[in-house]
Amino acid sequence: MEHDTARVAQTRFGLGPRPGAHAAAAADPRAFVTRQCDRPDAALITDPQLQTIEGLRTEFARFQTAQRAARRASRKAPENRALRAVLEATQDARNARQRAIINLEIEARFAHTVASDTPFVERLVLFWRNHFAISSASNLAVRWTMGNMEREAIRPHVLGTFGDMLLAATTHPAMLLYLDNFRSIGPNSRRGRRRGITAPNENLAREVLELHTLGVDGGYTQGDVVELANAMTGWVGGFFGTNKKEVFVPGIHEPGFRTVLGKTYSADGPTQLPRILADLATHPATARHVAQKFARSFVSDQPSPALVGALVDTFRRTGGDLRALSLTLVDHPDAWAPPPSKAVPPYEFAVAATRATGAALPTPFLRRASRAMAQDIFRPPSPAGWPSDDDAFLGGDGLLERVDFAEAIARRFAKDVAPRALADALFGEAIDPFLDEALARAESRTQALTLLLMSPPFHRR
Amino acid sequence: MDHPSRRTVLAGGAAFAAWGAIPRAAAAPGSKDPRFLTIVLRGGLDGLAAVAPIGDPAYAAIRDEFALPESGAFASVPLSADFALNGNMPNLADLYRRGEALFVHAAHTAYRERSHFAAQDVLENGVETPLYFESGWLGRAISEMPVESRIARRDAFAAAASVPLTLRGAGHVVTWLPAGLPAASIDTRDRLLALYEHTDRVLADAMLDGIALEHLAGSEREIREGVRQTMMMMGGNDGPSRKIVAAAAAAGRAMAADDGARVGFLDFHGFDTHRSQHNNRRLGKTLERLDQAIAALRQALGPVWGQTVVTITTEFGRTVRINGSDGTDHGAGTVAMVLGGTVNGGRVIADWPGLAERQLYEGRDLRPTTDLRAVLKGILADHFGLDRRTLGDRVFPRTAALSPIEGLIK
Repeated sequence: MEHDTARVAQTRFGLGPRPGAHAAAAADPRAFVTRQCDRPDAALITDPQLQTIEGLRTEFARFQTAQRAARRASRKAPENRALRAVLEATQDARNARQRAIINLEIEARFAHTVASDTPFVERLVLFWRNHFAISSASNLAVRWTMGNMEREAIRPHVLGTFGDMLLAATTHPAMLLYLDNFRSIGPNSRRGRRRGITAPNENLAREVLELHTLGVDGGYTQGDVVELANAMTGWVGGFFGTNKKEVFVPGIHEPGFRTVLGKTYSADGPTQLPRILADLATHPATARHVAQKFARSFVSDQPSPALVGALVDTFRRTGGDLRALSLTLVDHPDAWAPPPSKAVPPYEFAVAATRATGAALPTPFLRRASRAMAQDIFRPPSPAGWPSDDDAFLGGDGLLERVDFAEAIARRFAKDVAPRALADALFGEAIDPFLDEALARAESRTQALTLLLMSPPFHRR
Repeated sequence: MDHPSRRTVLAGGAAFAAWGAIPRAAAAPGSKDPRFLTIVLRGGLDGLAAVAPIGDPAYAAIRDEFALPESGAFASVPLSADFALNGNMPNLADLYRRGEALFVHAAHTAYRERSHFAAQDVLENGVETPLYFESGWLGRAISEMPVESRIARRDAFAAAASVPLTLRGAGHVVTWLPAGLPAASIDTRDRLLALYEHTDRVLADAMLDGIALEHLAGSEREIREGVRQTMMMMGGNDGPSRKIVAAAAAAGRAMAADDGARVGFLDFHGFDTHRSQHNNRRLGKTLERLDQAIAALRQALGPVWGQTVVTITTEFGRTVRINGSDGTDHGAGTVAMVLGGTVNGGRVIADWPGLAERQLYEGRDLRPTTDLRAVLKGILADHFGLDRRTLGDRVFPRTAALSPIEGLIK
């Protein structure tokens, strides 16, 4: 089959086939993608039901205070059933609100991505969200803030600079909570001395160096990890540990100069970390690490050295301008040439199937299906995020679960969709002849639509 | 050789030390085609509610109305003079009576704080620190097996959406989940496979792998039918039970097959009992489901049960005292269970720390006295034939000084 660049524009650089998009992309596939980069605001989610981080902080504190008071009262009078009921009610209220927040965030995010007419920008969001991965399998304040993190720390920067995103993501409460920085105490800080602390918690510092910036072979030492961890002390995010809800707590910040990668940073509390991160963001090792991962995630596990080289050059020349990085990718012939080699992750298949059919998926169903297809929403297996190898998610019974999901959409949520007409709108003349024949021979509308949604352009790019 | 005593002495390490002296089983490891499955209970199982130290003089007072009842609908089952099993687990009690189950009490991982997720990391990765995700203890154990062994050659089976940390590091792990969504028709699958054969080799192979796995674990229809029968037999019928029973039955089937998996993984949720820890409410029901899953597993393994070891572990125990909402909070020491036809069971192993105020860990928790890794090392040594150095350096790094507990396996 001849190389269909309009398909590549929609799949490798988009969210999958969509009615009418093939025709729109066919005239100039590259411009179809690049002109989306002129609309950075398209990534922003504005939904009055979703809270700012300040709003969440206030609300969380209110529940914590109520619960603390109820617990204290109940402890004083353990026999008092009414007080015990009050305690349970405050816990229930907090849990209910937490569930509601998670559902609203998942719903808004899915709806935004499904409706987007800048699918490439949404792919950038998914890439960077995963670069700064956090998981709901963590303490509960992470669950309150993980949706907010994507909205406030990732989306505003996908076509901005890497340095801004790095700072926003590293100091977002969700990250500070997920990787334990909220309880990291500087040994020589006021509280550290009082409590005899001997070392800061290194988790976040290590992941920033290994996963987010320089990469595992980026040339840093254990000493750099400790110094960065020291600089990070005090950054707590304002969800636990202080009644003032301070984001930065001077009393636990390690005082003094810090030396990271041979450069010394003067001591002035909350501005020290941003200066270190700014240098990490433009470090040559960061350029290599990010360029390599970007090319591998979008193109294949073995991107051409020329493509990676071009990405590294752009990153270094522009000091980490992510719009320039994205345009370099899309402008490079080696990003278009290889045959489809990457599996579409399950969540993105759910997005693609919904975009193609216009199905209205209830959020609980979406969540259940994502779990079944092995990509539980907001729950990657580690700080390294979801795997992005070419064949990720195709193991085990993953593909069979996709078939079940596709059939559920065809049978329950897209009852009015005519498969033949949809296939025409998706592929036009460029339809694969085998798919064409399979649709013609299908025994039912449900089966035809299932086959269409399971066809390779929805699963490989 | 002394015959092993069927009980241990409370408040003292004497019996425990005696156990260490029992010589290793004579059967050459590897010749019996061993099966091994590990079940992780997430949330932190209250070890004192599952296996109660009825012989401890402080137990009845400290648990008060939550002490396991000796009679009535939820009457506990005596395991020895000193311990009793929660009455919601008749199948497990039966295995114990046959000498096919043992309990290790006051056990714990190397972790001593109280975060679920960090504690689960440590339970699964088998190192001493959380947030290490490269490999898990069981994955490393598999990777240390001789390449010609069936354990190394066959895919490990995990009833999970993605490879659990416990199994990371193993060469091949297949993941499977009980009936996530109603299954598409077989005809649709066949047509799809034909389409992939012509259009996309990678998708065709992924589909064939999935079908092969389903053949091994049982199709969703078969699993459903098996679960229905198990549930009818046991008289239970709630939704959550069906799911974990399905997972257990599938794992059993996958491991019973001659060409199937030799190592399996399951995890169950719902043990974080901060409140309403009554025997007829949350914890009781959760233990009942676990018991049903054990029965389903036993049944699905069939004759292979005789070559099987199952461990059931949790990330930490819970506070000894009941909290203000009739539950317990995150604690330390808890109980671990070892089951299987080849287990040298019918006993409770414990270097019992005691429940008196001064004996508690940090004044609140059951003091951990047995390192869970010593239990697992003992099983891996006797069941997989892994040597001590491998276990102490690579499977559980930096535990050379921690002796495997011997004699757990027949």
